[in-house]
Amino acid sequence: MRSRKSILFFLAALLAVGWAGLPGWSWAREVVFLDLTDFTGPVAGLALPGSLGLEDYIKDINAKGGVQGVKVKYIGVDTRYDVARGLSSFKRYRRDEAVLAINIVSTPFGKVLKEITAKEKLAITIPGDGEYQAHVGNFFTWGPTYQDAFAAAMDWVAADWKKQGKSGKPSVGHLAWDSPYGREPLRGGKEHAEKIGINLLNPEFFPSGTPKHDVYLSRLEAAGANYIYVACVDPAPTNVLRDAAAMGLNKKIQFITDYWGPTALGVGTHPEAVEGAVIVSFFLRGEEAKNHPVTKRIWTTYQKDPLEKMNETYGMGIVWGMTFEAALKDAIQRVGVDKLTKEVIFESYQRLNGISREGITGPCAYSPGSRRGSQEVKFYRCSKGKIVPITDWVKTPDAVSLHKW
Amino acid sequence: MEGFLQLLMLGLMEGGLYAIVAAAIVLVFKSTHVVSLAHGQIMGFGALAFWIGVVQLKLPLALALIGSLAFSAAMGWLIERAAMRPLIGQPLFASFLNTFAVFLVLDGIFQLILKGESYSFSAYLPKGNVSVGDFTLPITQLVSFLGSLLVFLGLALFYRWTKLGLGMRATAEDHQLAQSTGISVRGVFSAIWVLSSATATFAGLALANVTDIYYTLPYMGIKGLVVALVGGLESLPGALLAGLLLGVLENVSAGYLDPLVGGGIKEVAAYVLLLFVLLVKPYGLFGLVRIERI
Repeated sequence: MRSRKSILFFLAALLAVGWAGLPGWSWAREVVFLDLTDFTGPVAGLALPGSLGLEDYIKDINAKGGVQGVKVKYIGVDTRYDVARGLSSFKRYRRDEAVLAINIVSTPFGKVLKEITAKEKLAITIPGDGEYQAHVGNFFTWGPTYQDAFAAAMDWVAADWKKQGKSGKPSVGHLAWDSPYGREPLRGGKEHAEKIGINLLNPEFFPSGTPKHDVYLSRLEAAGANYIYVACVDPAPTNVLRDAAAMGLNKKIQFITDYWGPTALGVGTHPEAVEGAVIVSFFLRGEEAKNHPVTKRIWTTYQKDPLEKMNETYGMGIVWGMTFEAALKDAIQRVGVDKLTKEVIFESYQRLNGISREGITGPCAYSPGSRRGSQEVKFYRCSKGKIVPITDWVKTPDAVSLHKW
Repeated sequence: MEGFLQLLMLGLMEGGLYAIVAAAIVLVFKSTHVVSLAHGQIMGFGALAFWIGVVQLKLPLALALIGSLAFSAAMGWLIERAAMRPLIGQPLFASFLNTFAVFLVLDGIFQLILKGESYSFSAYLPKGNVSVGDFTLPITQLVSFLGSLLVFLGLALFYRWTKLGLGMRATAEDHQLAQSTGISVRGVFSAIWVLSSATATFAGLALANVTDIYYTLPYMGIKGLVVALVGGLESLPGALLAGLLLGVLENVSAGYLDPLVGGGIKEVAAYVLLLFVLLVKPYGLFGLVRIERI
């Protein structure tokens, strides 16, 4: 009797071990994409919709059975544009083996994290700090670097100046948050502007959360700005444009914003103030974003709100998900499900050069020597309460290499 | 000179807004001797209630205004009953810290509601600029400034001519003496939180008219606190004068000194002013000097 029980136990154990060895076991594997983001605070207006897009895309991956059977878990943490909060959240999760990649939305936090993770092989995705391109490491920017986008904007300024038949040099003011992010576009962008004959005025910086921008705008006006490049995160650029419009400056100065300039959020709040402003963007804006088949499908499947309420960074969040999915797929193909590690995913991120994001952004430009998420931008203009394209996708200049890092 | 006048006028307009935030804090201090850190949040919620009224519920402006005032008054009453009254008789510092706790709780809720977005009143108010000589003033800012002055006038009349206002003044002098003359000090405390919350809502509306309802709006309460301290915590005229002074100082100093020091002057001007005034006049410009027998 006892030996019969032993045989049955042995067979059951054998079955369990065999089951574990079957490919179906991989269903039990779940990996984590950690999103250390700002659900509240100065960049929440764009970070939150981005994270929603990412979360919904991950839901969609899982609804289809995961990435080759591997399910993805989304974990989002509110870091409030606060480096200390971000750091403690990072420490909380850094040793978790299920966490294969981390997305962060704060440039100042990225600067701190870079020092800590310099020797690690862990893929961290981040906005467009050019330092990560200048010193290739484990940070991957979402799109073109800030300086590349700034350089593309300066090319647009030069062409616009010429188109208007004006002689001499156009004078351009830089009005930005007083933060590593606000100063980043000039590290290489300044060199590019000078190279193409633009007169860059003394830059103006103001703290995030500044309620009124009159003083900074007045000074740029007095300096003779023909164009002002605004680098802060919506709704802050909209607030700058609101103050500019109240001072009547939007009638005589052409405002251009970086890719965090007015989205549906800003245009919905102050349509009259943002009228005529130009946006250099690495992701689809306006109706193009809302009517894109992928963003539209994901939004209508997972969000309860009507499509009109969709902010364009929702599509950018979907691209974060697409990129992680592609890296995960590549990693599984190379090493198999059981050997997935942070390091393997890090290597895969470097192999994504050229993968398509369905046109929501330009193709991925990651490679062993590149940390740029893409090298394309598109120009839009705020017009009659809408954001309309004024160019097709344009390849950005390489401004990072112009700066002495 | 043109530039200076422009900075001066813009500074006065901003200063008028700071002053009314400070007025709400002064009202509470005058009667309860508690310095409130929570009024910035009350201001934010009042403005948000107004926005919900006009934009989401599509109420007429007057009705939305009454609704938002009623909402913030109820909020003030609730804070007094739930958070402040249990501390009567305890050290004032405990009450002060409790207002900080209220600040943190309300701030968390406000940020969660806002989700990083900003809400504007611009569609409901006059737009455009007024040109005075060579400089221009946005009408929204002018409307807000004039509204602030009207509230100050209203408060002055209230304290001078109403029974409740006189009761509040008596309470401000001495709680025990006021109680002995039949004034319900607890009632006055409740009333003062209701009145100061309604004043904070006016401040919120005036500010949000210029700066929108944004995540930073409640933090203007801190600026209001600085103004109240500079003006003297018991003085409404002091709040008005200090507010105007700060607005002008911020704008003019930023206009002229930023290029010399690389920026950021506007953000520190308030604290430099506070430091300077408190060093010279520890009770503020118009504060009551308390003399204690040694």
